[in-house]
Amino acid sequence: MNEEEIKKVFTEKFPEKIEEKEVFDFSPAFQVDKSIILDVCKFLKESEALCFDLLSCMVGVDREDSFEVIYCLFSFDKKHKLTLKVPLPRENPEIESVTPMWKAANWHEREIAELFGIKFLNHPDPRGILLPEDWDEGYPMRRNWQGKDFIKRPDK
Amino acid sequence: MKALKTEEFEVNMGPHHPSTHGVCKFVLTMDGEQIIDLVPHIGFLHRALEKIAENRTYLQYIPFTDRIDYVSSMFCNYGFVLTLEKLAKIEAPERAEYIRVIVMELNRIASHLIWLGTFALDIGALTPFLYAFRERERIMDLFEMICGQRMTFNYIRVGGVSKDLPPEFIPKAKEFTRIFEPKVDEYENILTQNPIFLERAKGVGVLPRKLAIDYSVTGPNLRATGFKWDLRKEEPYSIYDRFDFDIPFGANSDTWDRYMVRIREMREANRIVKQALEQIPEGDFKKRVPVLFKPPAGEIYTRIESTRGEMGFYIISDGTTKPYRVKLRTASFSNLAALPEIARGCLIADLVAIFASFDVIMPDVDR
Amino acid sequence: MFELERLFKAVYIWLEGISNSLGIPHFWFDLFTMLLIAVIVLAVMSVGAMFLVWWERKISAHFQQRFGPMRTGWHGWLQLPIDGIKLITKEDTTPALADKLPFLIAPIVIFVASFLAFVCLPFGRGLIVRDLNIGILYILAVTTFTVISILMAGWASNNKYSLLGGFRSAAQIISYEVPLTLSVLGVVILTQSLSMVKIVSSQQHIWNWNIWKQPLGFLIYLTAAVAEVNRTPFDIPEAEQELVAGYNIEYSGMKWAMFFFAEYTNLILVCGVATTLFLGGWNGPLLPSWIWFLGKTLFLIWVVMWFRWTFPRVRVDQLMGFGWKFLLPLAFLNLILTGLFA
Repeated sequence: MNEEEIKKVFTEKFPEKIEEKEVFDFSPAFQVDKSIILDVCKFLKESEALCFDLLSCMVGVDREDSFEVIYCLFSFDKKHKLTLKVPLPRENPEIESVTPMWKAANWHEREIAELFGIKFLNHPDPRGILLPEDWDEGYPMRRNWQGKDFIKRPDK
Repeated sequence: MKALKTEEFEVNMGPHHPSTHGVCKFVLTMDGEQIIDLVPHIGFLHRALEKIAENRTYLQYIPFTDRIDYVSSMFCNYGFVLTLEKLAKIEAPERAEYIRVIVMELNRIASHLIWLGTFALDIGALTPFLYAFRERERIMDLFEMICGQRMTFNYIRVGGVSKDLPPEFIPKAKEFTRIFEPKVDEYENILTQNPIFLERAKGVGVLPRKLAIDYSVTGPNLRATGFKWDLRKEEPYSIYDRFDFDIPFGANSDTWDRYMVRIREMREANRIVKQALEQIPEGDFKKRVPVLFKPPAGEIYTRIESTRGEMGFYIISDGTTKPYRVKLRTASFSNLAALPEIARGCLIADLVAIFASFDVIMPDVDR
Repeated sequence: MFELERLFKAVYIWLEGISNSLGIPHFWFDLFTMLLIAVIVLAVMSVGAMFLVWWERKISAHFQQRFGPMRTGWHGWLQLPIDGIKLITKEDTTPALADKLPFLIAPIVIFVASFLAFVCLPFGRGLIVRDLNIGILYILAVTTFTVISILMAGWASNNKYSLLGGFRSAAQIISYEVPLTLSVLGVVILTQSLSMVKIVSSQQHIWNWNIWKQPLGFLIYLTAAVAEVNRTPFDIPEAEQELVAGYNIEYSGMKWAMFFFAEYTNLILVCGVATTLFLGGWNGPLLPSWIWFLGKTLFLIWVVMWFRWTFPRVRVDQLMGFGWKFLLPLAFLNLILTGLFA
């Protein structure tokens, strides 16, 4: 399916709470409200026409005033791509885990949870993954993070 | 008869264990020799490469990409550079593209050779390791010739490559491609039909295709499940559409298939290098790019087929000289996540063989 | 040649002459010569083991298209004395939670076990410490001590890897002991004697060697012997890539060296026994008998090393399966055939 068709199918199924965005090389991209993320993912994975079976990547982003979780999806069958972006509030960021849909999400979510402090609800294995076990210096990938020996280079 | 049950006990395999290929820890729950459960602990090599990216200019970050997967640095260089070039709509000169393909495919061979050596070592055959390193040495010499480095090359730059090929490179590389094919036969002689090797590899660690896709396992491990998928063919980047090569794939997705796929991939990579060396045109090797390189604001996610599978770079640019966010999607990270599923119920010796056949490089996992 | 053949005998007679002229009672002289022989055997063993380490390093290097040790002495022959000095001066650590006494005794036991077996090994014509009439049985019995020592080491180290290695080793040695003994029985049936000297003297000419009468027995013996001494492809007790080093993981310095000495002396022993049983022992033309014995033994050792640097390692269940389901029936078949035709 080409981009236009995906857009059409997707917007028909979810007319509300979505918004189109731009991501080069992995389009189309949609901003999705976090309340419907599970339904959206279920639809994307299971619908005959779309059939996104590969969760290529999950990205956490700190947008200064909010957080964002990005899902890069790909379908081996149909050879098409889709990017989902889910904005989360700065205070108490929470989102449903998509591990039931793609097992690959498990480790990605653990990583994002640990580095950004985004909580994934109903995650099967909510432990840390990359940082030391006794890490207590907050969430290092946040833009405003201050570590003991972390010095930010001045902007030029 | 009721199966004999003994008391379960936990074993820490790693972080300092000879066959964890770097620093990885498995907490094994064992019943005698059998693995009941396996929990991988990673992060011992976490160098915060993504955080560093936010603090460096784009061009300053290229040397850091070398360190993502130091065994196939050229791919990491190229993946990052390709993403930037796509974002900034820069096209590298044709000669540069050829050079890139040559060095990448040579790097693929070098990386697979390391894999072959360590894989053989892990199942107890000590000699193929030295054989593999003998040929890798030649590739390292070639790389040293072009960029002065043997491991972290920092060779592929935005708009081209850092230096042109020295005049003696092409004959040397041609000589390598000529002698390499019989050397692969040599590796196969010592392993492929060896009965003990077959016993150890056939039917061990079967990763079903559905599970592999569910875990985003890519690269040779996915192809070993019989799925003919290679980004070089499916979404040709660079100039891969100009070369004639096959995509090896397996059938049973066991350890032996993963071995066979990589062996044949070395031959295919060699074919690509051969063709590229014949076709390489004269011309510029680099387009001028300002030192304070500023791609336009925007977001991009680009994937390439690295040695270990899909390597992706998600870059968010805000129009300044520094990236707002760089996310590294590495193949080993996803591949390793699938390991516990297939290692359950295996013996400890199988775990070593399976883990080795997955070709996981720990810095690639931890980033 | 004649002088070389009689070299050791001549020394003995010379010593006896001195003792008689000094008027030392024969009992003391016997005690002295026994001790002397023990020391000589010990020295031969140690030097042999050291030589084998160097030899293995050179052989493996040439199999792998490299040189191996080259810096110390001619082709690195001084490497081993230097390594020995290093091992002696190395700190000898004992883990805090180890079971101290077995931890200390284990290397001694394994060393003594392989040492004792040399009593009955005929190095040359007349060159045997004691020609026991149950020689081969004695060797088989004494070498079994090895497994006790490995279990002791594995248990006492208080380390899960060494425990697993100890168990693997116990299981392996016990299962391969059976086909080994059965294959030896074939030779015993042919010779109708358990004495090592009689076994050798029954194979005077090359066409009399037991290897032609017992080819299957020889192959079974060699396979089982490789498993006995825990070498690749049957080196699962110390499988470096799985159990790091197996039962000797916690040992350091001289204790660790004892394990290695024992491993290599066991290698000399099983190859020496194979030479005696199947390859005609010290029998051979022209050269002195003990040179023939050494040459044949070294050849077998070379073959075993060749295995090591070519084959991958088998898995523990495959190893047990191979031992019980394949090697054991084959050994019985060999025994029955021998019994029918002998």
